[in-house]
Amino acid sequence: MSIKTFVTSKSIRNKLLLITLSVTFSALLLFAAVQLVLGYYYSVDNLKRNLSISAKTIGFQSTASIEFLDPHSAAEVLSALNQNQDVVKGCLYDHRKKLFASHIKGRKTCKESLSDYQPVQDIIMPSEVSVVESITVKNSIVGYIYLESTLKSMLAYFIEFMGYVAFVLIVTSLLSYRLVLYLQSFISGPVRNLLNVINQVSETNDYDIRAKIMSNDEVGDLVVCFNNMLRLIQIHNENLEKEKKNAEFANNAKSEFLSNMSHEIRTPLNGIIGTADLLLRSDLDEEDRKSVEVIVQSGKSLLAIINDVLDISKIEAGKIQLEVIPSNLKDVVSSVVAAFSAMASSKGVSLYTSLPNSLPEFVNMDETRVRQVLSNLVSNAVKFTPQGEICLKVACEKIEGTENNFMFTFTVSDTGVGIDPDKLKSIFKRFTQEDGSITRVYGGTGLGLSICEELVGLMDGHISAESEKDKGSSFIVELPLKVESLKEDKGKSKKGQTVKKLKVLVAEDDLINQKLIQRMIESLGHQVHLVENGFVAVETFKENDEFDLVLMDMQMPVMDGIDAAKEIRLFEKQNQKEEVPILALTANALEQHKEMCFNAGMSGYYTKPVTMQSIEEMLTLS
Amino acid sequence: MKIKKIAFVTFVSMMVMLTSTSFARNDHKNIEAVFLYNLINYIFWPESKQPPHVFNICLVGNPYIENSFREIQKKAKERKQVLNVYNLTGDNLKSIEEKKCHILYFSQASLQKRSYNIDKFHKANTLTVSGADGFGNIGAVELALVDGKLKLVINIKKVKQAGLSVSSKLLRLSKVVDE
Repeated sequence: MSIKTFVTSKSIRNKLLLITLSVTFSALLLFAAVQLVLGYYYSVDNLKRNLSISAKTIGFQSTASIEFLDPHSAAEVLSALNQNQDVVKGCLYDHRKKLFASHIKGRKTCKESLSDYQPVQDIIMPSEVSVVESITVKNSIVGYIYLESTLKSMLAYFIEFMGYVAFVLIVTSLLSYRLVLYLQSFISGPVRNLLNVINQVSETNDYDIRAKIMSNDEVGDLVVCFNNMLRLIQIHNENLEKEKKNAEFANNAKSEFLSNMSHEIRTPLNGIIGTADLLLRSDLDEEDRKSVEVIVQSGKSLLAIINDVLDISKIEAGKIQLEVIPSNLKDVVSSVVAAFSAMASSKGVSLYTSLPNSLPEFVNMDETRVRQVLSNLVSNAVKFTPQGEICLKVACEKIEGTENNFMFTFTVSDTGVGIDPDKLKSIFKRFTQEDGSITRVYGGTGLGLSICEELVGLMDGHISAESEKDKGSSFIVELPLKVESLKEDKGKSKKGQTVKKLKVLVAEDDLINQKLIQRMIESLGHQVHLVENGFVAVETFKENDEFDLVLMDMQMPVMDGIDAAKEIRLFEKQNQKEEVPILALTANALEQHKEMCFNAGMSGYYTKPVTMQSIEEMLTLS
Repeated sequence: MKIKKIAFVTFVSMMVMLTSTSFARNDHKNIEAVFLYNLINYIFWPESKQPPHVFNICLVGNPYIENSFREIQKKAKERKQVLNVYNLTGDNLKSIEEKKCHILYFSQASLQKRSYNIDKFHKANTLTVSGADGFGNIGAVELALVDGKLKLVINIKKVKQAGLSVSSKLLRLSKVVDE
């Protein structure tokens, strides 16, 4: 860990402590070091000076001994050096520099001639010091004295001095620590206080809280600025809250509008498509049949546009939720191709699937959305292919590192008009087609591929397109799906032929739809009891316990379908009756409506317009 | 022939002995001269013996010492001292007072030839010195020969009598007599 990382990871309190103590300690250490070095050299110098004084004194006392040739008395004079423990050698030389008398300690010896001593080099840490002084009488040299001293006492003093320095260093550091600990609170205290307020604001989202100004320095200014910022955020939040409410209101209004529009358009469409569907089942001549087919086709186109607009609305609101359940992939692919095979063959275009033998039967997916994406792509292919062929190819490859996850690749390729490569990317944008002429020639809203891209994205997949003008296009959808090892019939457990004549209670307020549904159900040989609202439906259900199925519209006067379903379920529970399937049959096609239906205890959910096919499916489920 | 040979060897031996004795005596006298000069530096005369840098050494009956002083005078000159050496014999002895001797040296022979009233010289602030045995009892300083080395014997009473004082440094290496 670098010093920078170490320092920056500390709190302001610890930073201040660290900075102040390190500066104080460094200064003290430097001061102590200078004191020690200077003290050392001063002590050495002092030792030399004292040694020189001793030499001069001894020399002065020895003049008579030298002049009267009495080395014995000279040695006595030298013995005074015993008083100084550090002086290990005292040598007296006559004026010819010949040894005259000596006083030594230990194994030291005096050299016979003063000239034998080498001049001492100045070194940083000498082990001993020596001085030579001349001995004079009346300014005439009569001899010399050489003294040598160890540094033992000086070093002992020095060690003692270092001990004092260390003691002062420790005491000063401790005092500094206590002092800094006390003084730093004037800096870190307001910062900590500000931090607490910030945390409090973050946790409670209460922008009424204000930090207390504890100092008149930069931190105080910071607190003032922070309080101002809180005030501005508070005002901004209030404005945002207002804007949010307005937006929510607008959004609700939009949802309401979409819901109503969906309901209002689907209800007559139900009548149109249902009636036309019924007509197609009757004996019609060829010309009438074609006309009715146009009605059905136009109705379905209009329905597709409404569904697309609803889907885009759901995607924008983030309200699309995937229903991932084990589904039969082959069935989905086959049904998509089957739905468009008639249209393709009418144009002379061959539409076929290419499925590998190893294709897993059941995979976890949102069947409806996968079907929607594939249908959209096949529908486009059929629309833009005047001749030739269309192929829906499925391939799968196991994703490495997983047990049952496979990457499924659905490729819809055609030999149609193709797309200019420059415009391949833009075709996934909303309300965008290759160019305006497409709309004029082929129609469409330009929402299909955008919805496909959004749905594929929701399923963690990816969609791309390859095309060559006038030669055809390929749309590739890659979806990561989990394979389920289920047995046959798992997904269609309740499917089967209805042999029993059913008694169906239909709650529907719209007269056209009443008649349409009645005709459809009765055409299948079942009995219908029509009621105009939820309340009557509940009352009828309570009075007559022979109903096998209830078809319930959602939006009805007096009592809506949701409340009616709840009442029926409550009645069944109180009377310990077996639950009769209640299927929502509604023009309310939003996700939330579906959820409301199931929460109310309904068994299924079907959106208008109803077709004979959907009616047959409903009756089968009962 | 043998007698001649023995006589020659004996002669040579005697000559050698005489020569060596002569050299030894000469060396001894030189040291005495040095000691006499050195005493100047450790004896303090009263102010009446001014000027302080002029010293008169008077020798009674010893020509060797006089010769030895030639070198010493050079040394005294280095020390910016004026050293006057007077050899006093016979009638010259009367002029001791005129010479204002700082040191009056008596040779052993001169003391054996004649008796002197030593105390008389002390009254003239003169330091009396001699190498004669027992001079320490009558004079101020005796240059005694002990184990072949010269040692000082100082009669402190006589020194005081002469109105002089002795450096403690000198007293430390001397035998002090106080009678």
